[in-house]
Amino acid sequence: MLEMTMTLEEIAGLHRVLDPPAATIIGFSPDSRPSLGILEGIQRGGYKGPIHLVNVRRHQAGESGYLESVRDIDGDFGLVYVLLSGQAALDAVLSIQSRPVGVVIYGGGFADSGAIALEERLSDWASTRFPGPRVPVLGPQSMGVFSSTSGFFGTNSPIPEPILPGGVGLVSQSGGLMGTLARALTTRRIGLESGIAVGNGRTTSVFESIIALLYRDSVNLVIGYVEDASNLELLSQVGEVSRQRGKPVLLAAGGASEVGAAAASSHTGALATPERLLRGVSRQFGVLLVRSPEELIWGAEALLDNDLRNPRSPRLAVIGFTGGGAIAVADELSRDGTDLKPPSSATTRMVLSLGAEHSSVLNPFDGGASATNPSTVKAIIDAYLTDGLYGVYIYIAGAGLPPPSENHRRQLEIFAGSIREAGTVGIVASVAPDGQSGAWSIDGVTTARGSHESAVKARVLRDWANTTIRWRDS
Amino acid sequence: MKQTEGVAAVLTGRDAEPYLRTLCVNWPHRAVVVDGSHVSDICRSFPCFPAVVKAEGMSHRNQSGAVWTNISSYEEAEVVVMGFITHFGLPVSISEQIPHSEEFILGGQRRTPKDQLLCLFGRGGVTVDDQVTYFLSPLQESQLLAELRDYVDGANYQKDLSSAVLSLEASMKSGPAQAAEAIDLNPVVFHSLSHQLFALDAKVFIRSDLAP
Repeated sequence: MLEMTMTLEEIAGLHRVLDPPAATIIGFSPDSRPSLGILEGIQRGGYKGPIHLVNVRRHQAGESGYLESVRDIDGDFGLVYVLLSGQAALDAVLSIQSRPVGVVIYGGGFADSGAIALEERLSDWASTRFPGPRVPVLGPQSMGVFSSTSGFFGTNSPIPEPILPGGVGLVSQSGGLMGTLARALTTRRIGLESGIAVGNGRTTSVFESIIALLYRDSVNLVIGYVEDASNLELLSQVGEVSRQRGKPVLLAAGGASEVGAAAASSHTGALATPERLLRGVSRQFGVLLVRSPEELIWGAEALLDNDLRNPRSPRLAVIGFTGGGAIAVADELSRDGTDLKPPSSATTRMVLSLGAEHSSVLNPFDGGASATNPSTVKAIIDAYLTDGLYGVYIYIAGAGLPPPSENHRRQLEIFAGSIREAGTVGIVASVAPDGQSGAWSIDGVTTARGSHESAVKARVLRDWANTTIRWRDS
Repeated sequence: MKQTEGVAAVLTGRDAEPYLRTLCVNWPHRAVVVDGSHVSDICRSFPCFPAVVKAEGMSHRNQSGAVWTNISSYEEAEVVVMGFITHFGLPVSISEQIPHSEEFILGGQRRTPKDQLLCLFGRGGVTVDDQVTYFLSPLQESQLLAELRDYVDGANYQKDLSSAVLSLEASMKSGPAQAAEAIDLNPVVFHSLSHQLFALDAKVFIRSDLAP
């Protein structure tokens, strides 16, 4: 078992950031959009705790409601937002005289010369200023946090209102992208438990935030947008906690950092690009990886629509009855190096005996438009389901989504029903990007619009199968 | 020993052997010509033909024409070795040719800031490309075996490659290769007849101050 660098106290500390007893905004100004965004966010959920607004100039000008400094706060600081920049931001943090729940350094906070030195001092302060565990510090470049469980929405990232409560924990190094992802998830009727905009992540990192969310009982899936994945040790710990808690972690990485540049004169060094290191260590420890925020949404939907069931096998079967859709999806999978294995000889005989004599290739299986008899469709699907080779099934909705006729609808329902009965996972895929995403769904399996989305969802479910099989074997 | 940019020194051939002796791979029978006056004696006493003749101590040898295969006799070996000495200089090696199909790469790489060890495996040879995977030490055999299914069919082959990677990790962590910054074994192949795992080439990258 891996040795964890994050303590349970630190994890609990990050949980308190999502449900703080008070909030303090240093540098608050009613003329500033970020200030108002954070304040309105906190207030919108009916937050009952005290909110302290600190602005020395407005206090000295005699405006009511403003404190001159944090020293004037009577009681708990709660979660402290710092809307100042550079040395002023650091000085504000250093002036905090009793332990806060956490600190959020807003975007642009240290975007000036000497930023790294300031961040290192901030990190030292978080670790040493108060007895006990490190103080959680998000940012610089953080846009705050939210939790639908606690009703605290302390962020000015453009999250939807109202937010759909659910079991997804969202971590993003980009504050703006946290809001974008939250809106896209809500559009697809995927509920969120919490969100953390980590920012630069020098003190409290993106991987530590993911670990903390995995420990929340109300979270069943954590998705993350990562810009600095250079701490492979913490990434391995994310995988270990994911295994311990039995919850998938799905990551998209952007802005690759130069973690593999050393000793490039060796093959081993030259090949060590950030992307390869991230991909390899993610696979090693069962963390699911996609390539973009868009794929993150699709991947989350694939897992949740299938009720986070564990596929029995990572092998994919593509089945279709109309047109060349099965081939289009198989082509898209092939571009990623995903091979489709032919079924066993018993399944082959069964499928051929059911009127598919014309089919020379049985994975992808293209049954043609003639097979409209529901009992034949079910028998063919069941033949693949009982093969034992496959775990992830892709059914091609050749007429598009939503299904244009009762017969087409019936075929999809037969497929979904069989998948649910078998306890495995499936995708109903339209090869055309038609229809509004999430506008038509079917219980127990996921839908996909277009061959790219279909292939991404298939890959995520395949990787989830590999992860859970490794968990079981270990 | 060959100096490369920065602080690294690259060890090949006999220089590298002390770092590689505990790895779970076989090595082809091999002789190295370091003195032109010994070419005839070395070729005539070499026991394994067909053989491969290589110019040592240079990169991208295949592209430079510095690797000749299917050398069928000591007479032919003598001619080729003399030609290599003329074109590429000393040293020149003559090795047992291992019949094989697929080629793999195995490697280890230390990484700052925490001196983490990364182990690499995947498709190798001259076409080493995207089909490689990095794992972070400490490795577990079950993780390796699950991943190696993507690279090679057959449980025995997977097991042998896994053992080789684990032995490389152990050597770099606490064995003879502790001083190595990186190790490349490329290509690594399965003998077509014996099915044993062979490393056909190896490079050890160490800091200059630690080089013997």
